[in-house]
Amino acid sequence: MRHMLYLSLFLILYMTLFLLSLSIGVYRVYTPFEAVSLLLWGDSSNVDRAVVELRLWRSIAATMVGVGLAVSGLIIQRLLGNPMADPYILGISPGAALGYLSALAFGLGYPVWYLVAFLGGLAAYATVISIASIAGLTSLALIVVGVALSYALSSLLVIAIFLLGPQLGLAIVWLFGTIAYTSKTESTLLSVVVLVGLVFIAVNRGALTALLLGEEVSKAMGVNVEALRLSMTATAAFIVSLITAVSGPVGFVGLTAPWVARVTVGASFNRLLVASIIVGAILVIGSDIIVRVVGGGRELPLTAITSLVGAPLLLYLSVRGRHAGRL
Amino acid sequence: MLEGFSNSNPCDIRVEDVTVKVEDTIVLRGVSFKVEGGLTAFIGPNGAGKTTLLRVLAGILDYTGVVSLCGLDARRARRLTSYVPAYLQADPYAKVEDVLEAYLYDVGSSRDPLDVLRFFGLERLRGRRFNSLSGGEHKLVLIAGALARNPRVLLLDEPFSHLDIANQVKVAKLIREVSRGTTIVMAVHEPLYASIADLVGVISSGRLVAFGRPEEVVKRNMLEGVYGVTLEEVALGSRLLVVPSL
Repeated sequence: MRHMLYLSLFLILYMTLFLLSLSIGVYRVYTPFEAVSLLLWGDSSNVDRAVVELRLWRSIAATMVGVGLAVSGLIIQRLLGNPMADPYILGISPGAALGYLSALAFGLGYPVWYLVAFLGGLAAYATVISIASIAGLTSLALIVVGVALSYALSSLLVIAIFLLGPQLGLAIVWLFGTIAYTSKTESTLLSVVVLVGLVFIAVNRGALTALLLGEEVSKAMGVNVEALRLSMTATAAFIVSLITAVSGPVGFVGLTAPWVARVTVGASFNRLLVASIIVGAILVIGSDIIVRVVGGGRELPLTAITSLVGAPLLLYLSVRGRHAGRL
Repeated sequence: MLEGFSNSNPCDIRVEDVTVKVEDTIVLRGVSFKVEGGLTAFIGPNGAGKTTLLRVLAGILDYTGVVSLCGLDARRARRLTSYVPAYLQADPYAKVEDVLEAYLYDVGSSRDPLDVLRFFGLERLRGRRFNSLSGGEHKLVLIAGALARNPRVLLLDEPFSHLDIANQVKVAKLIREVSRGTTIVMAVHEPLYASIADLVGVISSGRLVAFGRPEEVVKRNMLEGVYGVTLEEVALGSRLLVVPSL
């Protein structure tokens, strides 16, 4: 009963934020009623309608970025049995960023750089999985290899940024994460991939439920833990690589959303999945509104805001959890 | 009394010349035995290989030799067995119902975690965080979850550890009751519990050194040889005093 209450509150909050996201922006602020009317009945040559339509695709992108990162974080935490894991532990973020910068360095333009960034993220994941497989694909091996490779790739990233320096120009915006320029095509692509990923996760929800009992007991009940780990991390890598290619790295959502979900609805996988989806969407669409409001006519980097919102939330939850003797 | 939570067709377990090697160390060496239903207890000192044997039976450890449960290879028999580890550290936010739901992951909606709690008289634990339970409650929830899967073979690792006397009796009664219709294999480090079993195996340094009915196996010289202490030493400060039959 309490769970349903939380889920309903989350849903109402999300829908409110979605309306605000259509209404608020640097160009002009509408009332939510105006924004919806413009979308539904506005003349397509009307500038105001065009603005609201851009915000619509942006809001959909924000939702999908949030959902994708949150569910990826959730399944990676469940698969690794580690609540501090986040989807970027698989090396995807610096991998995608390196791909993006290489594309720029070689003069490849839009939309090829997205493709190279996506492939960079997947390549980093494939490297992590291959090396961790030598150690038997245990969760410890995955975490250690992922962390080590992420640091190594981040160092290369720093060197690349240093060398490319002045050439980067506006491209630097991507490195800080942004969905300000997300087109209709990109939003649609994101939606399709995230939704297909969700279906795939939902199909495996039984085995992911069993994993609450840990690797040994799940295996003893017939769950093929190794195959699950491989297929589900691959799903997460695919989603997160695409998100990172489109929006740049967006930090903390994959870690924070599943946490908020656990504290509010407990550890049942089905409930966690639903709650993570909504909370992830709330975090990113909310942050994307803040990005537009506090910059004073300029948009701030998205990842700075998601982390600024996510970190205090995580701190609050862990302190609260400790008082209740839960951690 | 246990309808729906206990099978009425226990199955045979056959283990032939099983050896387990973990990183160049042989932890189980040439173990062979056979049971036809009922309750079997393996005793032996810490580190002797009891848990290793249970994990082999659970199909989660590589071995050489033959392990057959209900006529199936251990790995294939996994869906017919339920394994209860000595201790389970769950997600700090996991509720008791969440743990039961995880045990029932492939049973679907045919069985509700709340029914399981009700059946085992554990309704008071509803909504409690699993990690905050007492040792006895922790054990009872795990055993309840494992039984709710209606297994043909139940594997219990240290079912009596962390339990007070009342809970030991409670768990012992439950295990006896279930063993009428389900094959149970348990690992216990205290020889005391061997007396409730139909068959007892003694494991020492990875070898099965004795196997048979409790009164044939649990003898003074065998225990003194395996555990390396005299019964007088043990009895000095121990509740083994209450087991004169030893």
